[in-house]
Amino acid sequence: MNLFSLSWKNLAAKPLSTALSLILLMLGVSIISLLLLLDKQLQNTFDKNVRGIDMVVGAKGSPLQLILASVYHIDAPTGNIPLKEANMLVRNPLVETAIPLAYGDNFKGYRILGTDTSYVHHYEGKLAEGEPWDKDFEVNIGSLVASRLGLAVGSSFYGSHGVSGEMADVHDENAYIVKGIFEPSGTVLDQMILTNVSSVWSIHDHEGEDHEEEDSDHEAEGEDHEGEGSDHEAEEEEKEITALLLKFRSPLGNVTLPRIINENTSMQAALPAIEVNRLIGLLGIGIETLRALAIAIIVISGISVFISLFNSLKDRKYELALMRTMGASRGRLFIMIILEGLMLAILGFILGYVLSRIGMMVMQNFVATTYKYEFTSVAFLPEEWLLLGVTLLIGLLAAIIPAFQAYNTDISETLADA
Amino acid sequence: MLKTQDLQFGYVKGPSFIFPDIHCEKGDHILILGKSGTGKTTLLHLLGGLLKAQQGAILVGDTDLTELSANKLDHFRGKHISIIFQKSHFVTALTVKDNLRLAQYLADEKQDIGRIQHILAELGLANKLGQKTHKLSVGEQQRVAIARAVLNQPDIILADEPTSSLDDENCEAVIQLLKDQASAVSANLVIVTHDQRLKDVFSNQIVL
Repeated sequence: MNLFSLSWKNLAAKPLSTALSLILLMLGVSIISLLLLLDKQLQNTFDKNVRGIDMVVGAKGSPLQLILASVYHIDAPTGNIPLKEANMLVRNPLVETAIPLAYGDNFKGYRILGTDTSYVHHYEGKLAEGEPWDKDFEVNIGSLVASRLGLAVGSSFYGSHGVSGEMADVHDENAYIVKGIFEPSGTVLDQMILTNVSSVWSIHDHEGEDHEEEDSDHEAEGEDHEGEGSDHEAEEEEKEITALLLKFRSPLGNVTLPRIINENTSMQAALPAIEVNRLIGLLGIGIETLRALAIAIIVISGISVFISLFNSLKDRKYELALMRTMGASRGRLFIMIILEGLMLAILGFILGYVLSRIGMMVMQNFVATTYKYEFTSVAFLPEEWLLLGVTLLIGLLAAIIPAFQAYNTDISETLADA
Repeated sequence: MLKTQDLQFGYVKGPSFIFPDIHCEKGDHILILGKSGTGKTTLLHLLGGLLKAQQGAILVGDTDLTELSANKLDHFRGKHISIIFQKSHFVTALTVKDNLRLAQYLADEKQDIGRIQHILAELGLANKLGQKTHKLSVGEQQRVAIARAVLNQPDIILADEPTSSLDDENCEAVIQLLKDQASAVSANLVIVTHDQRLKDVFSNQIVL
């Protein structure tokens, strides 16, 4: 018997009010923990993938959509841009590197991206096994694609048209062959299927001749297929890509190029830094609301702890006097009540922590199946030490008035009244 | 040994009492008889150190309770004084065994399960060890209270109206039990009551 076990048994003797306090604490803590985790994951994902990309050039439309599609591979592309125009931009002296992106197909929801090795270099991708793609229809795949779809070096598959995986229109003329698998990198590379740009072109040139009636569905290929296949001399001129990821030699590019592109070409330039900030600003309203809700729940749980301790003390007034007659000092009773508050807080925090991790796993599954994105880290966040501190403080505050009451119990009066 | 001298107490908005001196040698039993309003409970609380006397001295052994600081008084009470109330009270969240362990813990005594089992067995409660106290009958509760009172081998056992709600048969049994248990640990037994049935049982008496 000591103060810990005594406090614990006092809590256990009132399972309903203890449970109510715990559930409220758990909810508040888990929502805040979950928000912290999500926030961190989002920041992580956004920062990691956007690093080193100063500007994205693609078809006109929503700049945010262009960034989401070309950098994060979440949204549908805005359309295609003529290769000729794109190449003029690549030759601009302000441009250090330009990575071409050509979309068209997916395999079971994972996007097949036509690009060149500069894309791999940009994300510092290393092959875990196999070799780089070389010829048309050879692909390198990300680690998640390999593990989720069970693909290995030497596997072959047919792409389906579009980027979302919902269309069942399979290109069964040309099979892709897996030549290499990347090491996990924690970037979008993990969920990509990479090939050369001409594979994407040749599949869709072929397609263009055979299924002209389907062109209206080809959102990824964009707006303009007129004349394709009819004039072979013009074909080089008519080739299109989806977007270009640009890195500038100097910050001057940030200032001058977007205006030139947006005003003088059929393309649009979007700056990832600005668009990502805009997106986080939009999400921020929702996150702030949830956070306020969670704080309200935690405060209410603190009040619940207070009421439950306060009420139980009214019932236990005689017990406290009795314990005093058995030799307990005022200080001991004070500590006993404080411990009850702190124990509730610690238990509530642990339960909330566990619930937030379960919630994260559920969300992970959802995000993984819907967006082919994987969240990784679920470790104890530094901010959660702060959350633990706040939770303990609330337990302490809720217990302090009842504890002072216990401290000030007049033994003689209480016993005489009974 | 218990001695009082010139003990006085007055409530702020209530009666004042001047109590006769008490003198008990080690192991003596004493009955303090009085009608309602004569300050019986006040005297018991003074003797137990639950109230602070406004004047006079209370000697338990060589220690004057009236001169102890609050914390020392709490500690002294736990070690040397036990109080039995008219209606038995326990920490309801705990079992019989844990209520007795609590008494040992709060008095800073060793938590000795062997002694708890021994005393409960002596009082015919050996099979109630793991029960919550509110599941016991009133008679059993009173015996557990007596077990708790003698557990730490106190110098003084104070009993407040221990028999007033009992019939004659049980009254006699409880008094005998109290006397036996107090004698077993050589404690002074001080019974404060208005119960006239006890008049013939104790030779040492004070009437308020």
